[in-house]
Amino acid sequence: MAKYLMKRILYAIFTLWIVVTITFVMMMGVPGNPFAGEKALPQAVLDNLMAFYKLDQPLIMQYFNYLLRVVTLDFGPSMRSQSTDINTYIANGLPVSMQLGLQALLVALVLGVLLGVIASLNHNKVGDYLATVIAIVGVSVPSFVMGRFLIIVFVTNFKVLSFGAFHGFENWSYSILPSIALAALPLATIARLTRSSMLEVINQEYIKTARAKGLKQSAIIIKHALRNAILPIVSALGTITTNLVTGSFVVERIFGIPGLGEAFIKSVESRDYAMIIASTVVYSFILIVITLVIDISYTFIDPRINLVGGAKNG
Amino acid sequence: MDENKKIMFEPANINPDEMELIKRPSLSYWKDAWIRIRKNKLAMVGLVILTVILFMAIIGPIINTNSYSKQNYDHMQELPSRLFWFGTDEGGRDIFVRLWRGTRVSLFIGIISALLDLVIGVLIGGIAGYKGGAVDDILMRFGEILYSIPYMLTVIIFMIYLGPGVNSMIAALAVTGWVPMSRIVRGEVLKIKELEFVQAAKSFGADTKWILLKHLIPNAMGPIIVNVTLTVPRAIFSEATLSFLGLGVPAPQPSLGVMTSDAVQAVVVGTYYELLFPATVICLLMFSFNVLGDGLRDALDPKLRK
Repeated sequence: MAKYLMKRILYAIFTLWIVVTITFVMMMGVPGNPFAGEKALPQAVLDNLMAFYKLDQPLIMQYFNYLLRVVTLDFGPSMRSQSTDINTYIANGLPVSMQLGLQALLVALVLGVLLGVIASLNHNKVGDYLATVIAIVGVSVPSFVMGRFLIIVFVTNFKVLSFGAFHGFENWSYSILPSIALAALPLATIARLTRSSMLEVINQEYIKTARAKGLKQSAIIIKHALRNAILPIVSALGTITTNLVTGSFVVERIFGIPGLGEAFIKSVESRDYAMIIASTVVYSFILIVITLVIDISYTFIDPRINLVGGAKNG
Repeated sequence: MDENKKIMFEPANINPDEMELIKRPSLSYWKDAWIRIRKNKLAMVGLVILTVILFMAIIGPIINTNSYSKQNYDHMQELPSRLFWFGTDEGGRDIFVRLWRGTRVSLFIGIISALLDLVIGVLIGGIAGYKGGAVDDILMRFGEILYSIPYMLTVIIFMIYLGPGVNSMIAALAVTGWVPMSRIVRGEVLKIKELEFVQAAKSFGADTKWILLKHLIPNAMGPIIVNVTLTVPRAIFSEATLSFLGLGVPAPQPSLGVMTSDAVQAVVVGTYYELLFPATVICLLMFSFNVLGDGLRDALDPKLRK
């Protein structure tokens, strides 16, 4: 296991290096420079700026400077506002985005699995159709439409909730609506997966055996059926996390949340390369870590899976 | 006794031709799938909605001669009238014409990027699965690395790189979109290439290209088609998200994403009406492609055959 872990971590570092390099190359290939604003800067100022950000050095030097920054986790100043450090941006934005993402994931997992189980137990009955309709609405409505709709209903019309910046449990109620808006798509995905995977499991012999033993319905579902049906959901979690990241760009914008997604979109609008690369690295890092955690968690969920052997084949 | 037996028993009329007769009409894979998907009500509803939207996208801008880009300053944010069938937006532009032109653009983006995913994904997945070994490792790792950058991030970076527009959006979506397709094709090819008929083809001296195109890919067509059906709505969704983030098709060109996100901004000042049509069409498109994809998956799965 330790050997496998080492191998995976080394591979993750390698992947991260490639990601950083690709992003760097792409950013350098973009025509123009980040200081091209509405009014042209005097040549002397431009030269000074270029020197400050070390953009006047040869590309290869810039690349190594950049790698060094990534390794030391010091992304330097933003190219747009010299007073703001990118690290400060990330330190402020990341916890907010993480909280939003985790809350949404929790909502999506709990409600999605619940909905999927209800649908599979009432196969082709009212409960099934209801769950299917909710799942289809979840995949059909763009998140910004969903977000705006939630604002119209709960904030404008019923005035029960509000939204805005939140931090931990401070102003926690502000995070309810964005979490729901962000959870809609993964919830639908999870509900659909759970339903089809539960339907496959629930008709198998060992479930009949469990019933014959006289186990309670809840025990059968939780201990026997769900544990076997959950594997496809675990493997889909990687994609679901990616969706959460993408969704967070939109949801943070709609609800005015000062998270990392919002910072990223602003940096895209202002072509702040340093910030774009930094966000890409942070997002990729999160995704790579999550993939690793998911792969390891397989062994705990299904002891039959042998990662060390599996690693050789795949 | 013998006499009795002759009366009681009649010799069976054995006709060798009749024994070989196939009673059930023979069905090809696709005919069988079509029969099964016809029974799936939800998928059929999806197909009907899709046909209607497609039809309207084609004839919509033809039957109404209003311009999609002309701003009518004396008809701003109007409700439907005889002149403007679906009303006008905040710039005084005709929503009906914009809606169907926008549907054209969104469908174009969705379908073309799905086709690009198909070509690239099938090619890479097919080669990786068939060749195996180092080639497989390199191609799949490359896809994996591409995929560990969040998909939308790559697309956004590409959009900055290429500048806004329909073509650059399609290119950006294709850069990462082929990865899931290639994984599916690789998995199928790995399964099929061990089967006897491929060995037979090989022993006849068929080359790699022939085996891939004539034997492996056609047999993996089911999962491929399902994935294409599910890629189209994903591309349309991505278009909408990019438009919302300000990286969409440049004005005055409409697309469903541009119209919906414009309308969402307009809601802030209290105009709910603009949102109705583009949001409805986008939701219906998503709905029909998704149920159609699900229906196809069930119909093409031989395990579910009754």
